[in-house]
Amino acid sequence: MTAINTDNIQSQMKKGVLEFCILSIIQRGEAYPSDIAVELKDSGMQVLEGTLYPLLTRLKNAGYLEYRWVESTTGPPRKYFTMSKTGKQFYLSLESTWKEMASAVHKITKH
Amino acid sequence: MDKILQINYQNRTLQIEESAYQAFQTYESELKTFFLKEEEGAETFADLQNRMAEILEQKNALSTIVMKDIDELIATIGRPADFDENYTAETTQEKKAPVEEKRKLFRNKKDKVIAGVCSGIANYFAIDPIAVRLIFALFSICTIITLFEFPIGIVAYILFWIFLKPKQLEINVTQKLFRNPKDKVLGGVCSGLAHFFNTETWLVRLLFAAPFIIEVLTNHNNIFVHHNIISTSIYSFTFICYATLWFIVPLAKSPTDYMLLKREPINIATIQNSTAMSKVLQTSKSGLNAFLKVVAYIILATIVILAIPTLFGILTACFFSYNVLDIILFSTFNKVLGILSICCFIGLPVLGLIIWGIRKIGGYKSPHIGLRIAFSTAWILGFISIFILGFNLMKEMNTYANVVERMPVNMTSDTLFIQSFNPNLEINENVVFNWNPMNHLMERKEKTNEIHAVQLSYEQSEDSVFVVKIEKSAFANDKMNANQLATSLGYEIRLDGNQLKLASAVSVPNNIPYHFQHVKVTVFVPKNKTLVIAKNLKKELNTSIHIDNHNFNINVDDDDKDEIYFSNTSVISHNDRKMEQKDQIESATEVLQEVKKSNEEDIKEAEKNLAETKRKAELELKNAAEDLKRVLKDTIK
Repeated sequence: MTAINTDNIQSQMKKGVLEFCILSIIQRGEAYPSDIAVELKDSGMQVLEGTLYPLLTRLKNAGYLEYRWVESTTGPPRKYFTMSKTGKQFYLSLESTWKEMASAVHKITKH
Repeated sequence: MDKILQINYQNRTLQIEESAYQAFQTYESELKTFFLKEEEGAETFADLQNRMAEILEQKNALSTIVMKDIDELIATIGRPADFDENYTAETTQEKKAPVEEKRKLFRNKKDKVIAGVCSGIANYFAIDPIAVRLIFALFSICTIITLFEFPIGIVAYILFWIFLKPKQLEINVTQKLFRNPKDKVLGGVCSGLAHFFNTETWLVRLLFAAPFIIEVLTNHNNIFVHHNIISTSIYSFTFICYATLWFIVPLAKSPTDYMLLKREPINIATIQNSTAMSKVLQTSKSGLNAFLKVVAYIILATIVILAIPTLFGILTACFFSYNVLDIILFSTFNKVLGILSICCFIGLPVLGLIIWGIRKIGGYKSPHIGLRIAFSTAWILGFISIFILGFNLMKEMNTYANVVERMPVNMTSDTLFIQSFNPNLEINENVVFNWNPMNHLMERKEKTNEIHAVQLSYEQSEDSVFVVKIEKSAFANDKMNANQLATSLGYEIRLDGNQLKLASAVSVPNNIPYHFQHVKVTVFVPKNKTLVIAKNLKKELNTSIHIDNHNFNINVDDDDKDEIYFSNTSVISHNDRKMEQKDQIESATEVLQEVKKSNEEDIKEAEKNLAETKRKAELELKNAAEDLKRVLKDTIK
């Protein structure tokens, strides 16, 4: 019971942050999903591509992301994601929320 | 060492160990069942397939894909069990509500031809954009042409364009119209339509091909000259329909497209198909290749369209002229060869072409290889038999011989009339119904065969009487036999006053073969005498009796003339004759009038003379009377 709870809380914490992190990477410029996965992994945030892809699809369907097909020299054409105008707004609101929250959490956990 | 397979995955050729491939397939189907539970999953799954293809190709560039590589792949993507299901489930809930709420009419920025209006409408009603586009286009054209002469469709489109907001919309249909690359004759349009309307592919194909087939069957003489405007418009309409659909309907490219095309319940079986699918996709990838294929198909179709009626025509001709063929071939050996030639060399290709067409339209599999070998063998057999038969017949008929007979025509008249009579008809007069479509070729009798092989020609001669030359000729293997065949030929000529009656058929005895025995009748026309070809003969000239008259220009095609006149100084047609008579009458009238005129003048002069004479006489009489009076007076005095 306790174990499940811990898992649940951890995944809940991760989930909101993950979306924000992905949007943060994409807002810097056009991004390829596996590059996003690599970047997340390098920063210490483990994410499976099997989790990443559905997330991107949802964000795109919600109108926050756009994509285009880019021919690749090494394989099949790749789907590159960019941020839409609404996505940018969404990201900015998330960012401010995150900043508020982070400073609050920081303050609280300091003591 | 495991067996290495060469597979085709997402248009990529990969070398993979068998066990690794099996593991990969299991994994892929796991993913598929996981993602396709949800509405948006199809797109995610297609993306993941694409990604997996990329990873596998990168690994394959180094070496053959082994189990380790698949393990690594699974580690990167993750197994469905490892996916944060909580996450997915909750987000769906969160996101779905607003999406459902936002179901408004938009212009679709993502899938558009002009401004995405049709696509937006389609999205609103959750139907295929192509259907909306077609309906919209048809509606626009119809209203312009028929109802109002007002471009209501275009105006509506512009209004929608102005008032609707653009938005990136996702496919929200479970089925879309695609051209099917897996099952196609030309562009895969019919197959795609069949899947869309959930009917059989061959039915749609037949619907499209029907106008062409009907055209070929009804108008096989000249396929490229259309007399019937309705049939022409119908099949040009079908052609335009097909071309339009080919142009606007996209080809199913990804497995996702293919699933939308097929409206298949998504399960492991369909997924396994997707690898085979990829193979097909690759073959139809190159544009030039496709173009060449289309050109090849058009050439092939033209050949088939032309070949079927031609071969069919030969076949029917053979069937209807069986009686002539029968006596030409004569010997049993030749007859067997003849039947073999017709059935195998001509009949089989007709059958084969028809079966091929049905197979192509119906999308059936190619026949069994054994059947093909049998077909080819039979055809070669037919070819050999036609070769032997030709050789045989040539050997049998390589020598020509003729028998000439001259016959003076004894008559008093200057004009000889030529008529014909049909010996067959005279004898068969009592037969009420005699079905023989090749009646003008030959007629069978108890002991002879009556064959219409008569030629007629005329020549000028210096003789004083008409002479008829009858030349009987035949072919055989040597001079003697040819002579014998020619002599055995029966031909009848009747002379009745100044009427020469020619039989329109020669009779060949039953017990000898027909080696193109024929009769050539030449009429020698003496100076200043006339030959007249009667109407009934003229009718037969083009069918039974062949006229060979290059010495004189007689136009036998002129239907206005009932008879053809020929005299040994010039050729006079009936009309010419009339003209001549008219001329004569005119000149005669002229002479007459001249005579009349001169006569009148004479009479006038005579009258004048008479009057003067009278006057003179009266005057003299008067003078005489006067003189007499004076004499009398003097006397009395």
